[in-house]
Amino acid sequence: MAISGLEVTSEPTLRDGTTLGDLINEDQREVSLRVLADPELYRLELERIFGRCWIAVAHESELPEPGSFVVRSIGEDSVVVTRSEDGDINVLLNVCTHRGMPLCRVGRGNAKRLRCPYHGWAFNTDGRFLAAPFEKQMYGPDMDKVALSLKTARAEVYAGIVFACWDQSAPPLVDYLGDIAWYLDIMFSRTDAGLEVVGEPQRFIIGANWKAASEQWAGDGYHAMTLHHSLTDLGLADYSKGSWAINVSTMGHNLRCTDNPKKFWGANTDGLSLEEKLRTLPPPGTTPEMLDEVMRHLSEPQLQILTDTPPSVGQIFPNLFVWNSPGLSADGTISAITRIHTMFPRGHDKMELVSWALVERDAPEDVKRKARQTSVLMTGISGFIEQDDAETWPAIQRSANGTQGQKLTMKYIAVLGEQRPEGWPDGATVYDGFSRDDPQWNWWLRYRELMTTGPAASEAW
Amino acid sequence: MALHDAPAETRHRWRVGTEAHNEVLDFLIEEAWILDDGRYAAWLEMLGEEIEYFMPTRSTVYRNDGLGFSENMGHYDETRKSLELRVRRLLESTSAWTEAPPSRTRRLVTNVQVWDGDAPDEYLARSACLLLRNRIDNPTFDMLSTSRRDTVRRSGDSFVLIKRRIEIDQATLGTPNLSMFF
Repeated sequence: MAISGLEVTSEPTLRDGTTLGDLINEDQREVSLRVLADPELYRLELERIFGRCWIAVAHESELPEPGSFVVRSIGEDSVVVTRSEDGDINVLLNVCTHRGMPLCRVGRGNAKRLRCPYHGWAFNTDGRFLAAPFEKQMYGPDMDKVALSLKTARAEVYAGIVFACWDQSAPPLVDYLGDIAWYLDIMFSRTDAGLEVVGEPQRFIIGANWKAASEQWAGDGYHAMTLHHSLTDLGLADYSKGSWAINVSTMGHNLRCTDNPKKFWGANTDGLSLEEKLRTLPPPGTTPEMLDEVMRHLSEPQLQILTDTPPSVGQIFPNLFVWNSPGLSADGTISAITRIHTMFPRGHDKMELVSWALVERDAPEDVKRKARQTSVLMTGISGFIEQDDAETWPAIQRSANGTQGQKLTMKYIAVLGEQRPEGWPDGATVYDGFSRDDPQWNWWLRYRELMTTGPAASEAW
Repeated sequence: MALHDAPAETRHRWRVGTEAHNEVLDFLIEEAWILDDGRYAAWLEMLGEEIEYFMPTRSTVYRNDGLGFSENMGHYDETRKSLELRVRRLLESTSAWTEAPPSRTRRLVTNVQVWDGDAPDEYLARSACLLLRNRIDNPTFDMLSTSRRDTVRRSGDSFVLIKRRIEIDQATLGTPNLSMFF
């Protein structure tokens, strides 16, 4: 079987005979720049990565009531994320089963049903076929309505984030997240009311292959010292000692746990009880009134990590960036950055970034305002940090478009090897030390694993 | 009042060619040149201490659902202090890569209307602003088409800007980063 000229074998082979194994050199820990610029590989990624992985599409707070919907993408496919009458969240391919017209032409709204603007076929918000105009005259009495339902992805929510997956053989979301789920609780599931999205996400196009962003999100602590040096220049961060972290890596996911909050707050918590530590270093974005809830929601080992070396930034494979850290607001006081980005590929050399800012739903308005202003100042399209990230990726894309550039490789040769702090609580691979290339290399190994197995194969799981 | 509406009809509107219209127009033209020239310190001088500077995100919605702007999420959501910090980054750091080398920008400000403000020395203005941005050796431009709603207050023989709301015409922006001011 051929997909876009690629043979579905154990090793994808491009038209010129190059294999994925030629492009991802496991012995040398190098990845050819060609992987960022190859349309054939890209088509295969849409099947084997975006067609099979759990992909973040929304936050549950964007769907407050029955009928709420937002329009997002999985790969290049437009999907409608709905909350149906029964309260369930559904992820539906935004394509009418009649002739292929998109049903939703807006970004969000509330609807009792989805009606196609072309011939008028109508569907329930859970995707079931409802009716067609002049149904009897057109189709008679024996129309097989079940077969005409919208194509529906599996939908599950973890830590408030709505994920979708086309592959029926993929494991449940919580198993897909594996040991990382435990850390997502610490970052995003700490209070009774939980987090809410602030308004509409920022959306913008970056002229680069999606993997240029994704491999960086998978644990690149090294770039901060140079690319983000403007923060050091302004006294907003201090990268002079390099980038130390405990990187937790599993199945291509990665989270960076750091003691940066202690530095932020100038706090010494040695010898304090867990509760005293928590009151000294509250989770970014919470208020003192919420700390009893935090104690209730998280386990003791989670609270230990939260108060010593909390997870701050990371990535859920293949394309979700998660962030929860203290942040300096413009008036010099400490606020919080709570943010998730996902990116939708738009061809092999373009991606759409969708970036949500989050706040604790129960926080007072002034706390929310400061947190969202700090998030905008530091991250996203105009943020001090991520402005400059978005400057690199299109430039790298240009390198990857060159015939000589394509022959160069991205290097992941800085190996730390597993360094597991004593008593570290979970089964992920843990790298404690000066952040090297390990978690990013693990991202590529996971990518290669999924790319070298067929679309419905279960062995990659 | 819907977001795109002009201020209420009960306000006095200064017609094109009247003194207040000329003065506000002159202020907006001067500001556009200062920003196109990259004279950011001079731009800060044109802003009031209490400035609110907000560029909401938006979503495409049907007509009955309004214009789709966020009430509280922005591409920019700025105070005087955060704008000062943004200018400091551009002027004091050699690692503000978004503007190193600098973008070339052109602000085409037009369709200016001016009304009396809430205080005797304040005016409301709205304008259409097309910001063209060119980076490095890319022959094409990022085009950012906006409408701006401003409040200006008299200061010396000119004005300071004390409020600006920037309504962009794209739900998905066609530029990878925002380092320039509208």
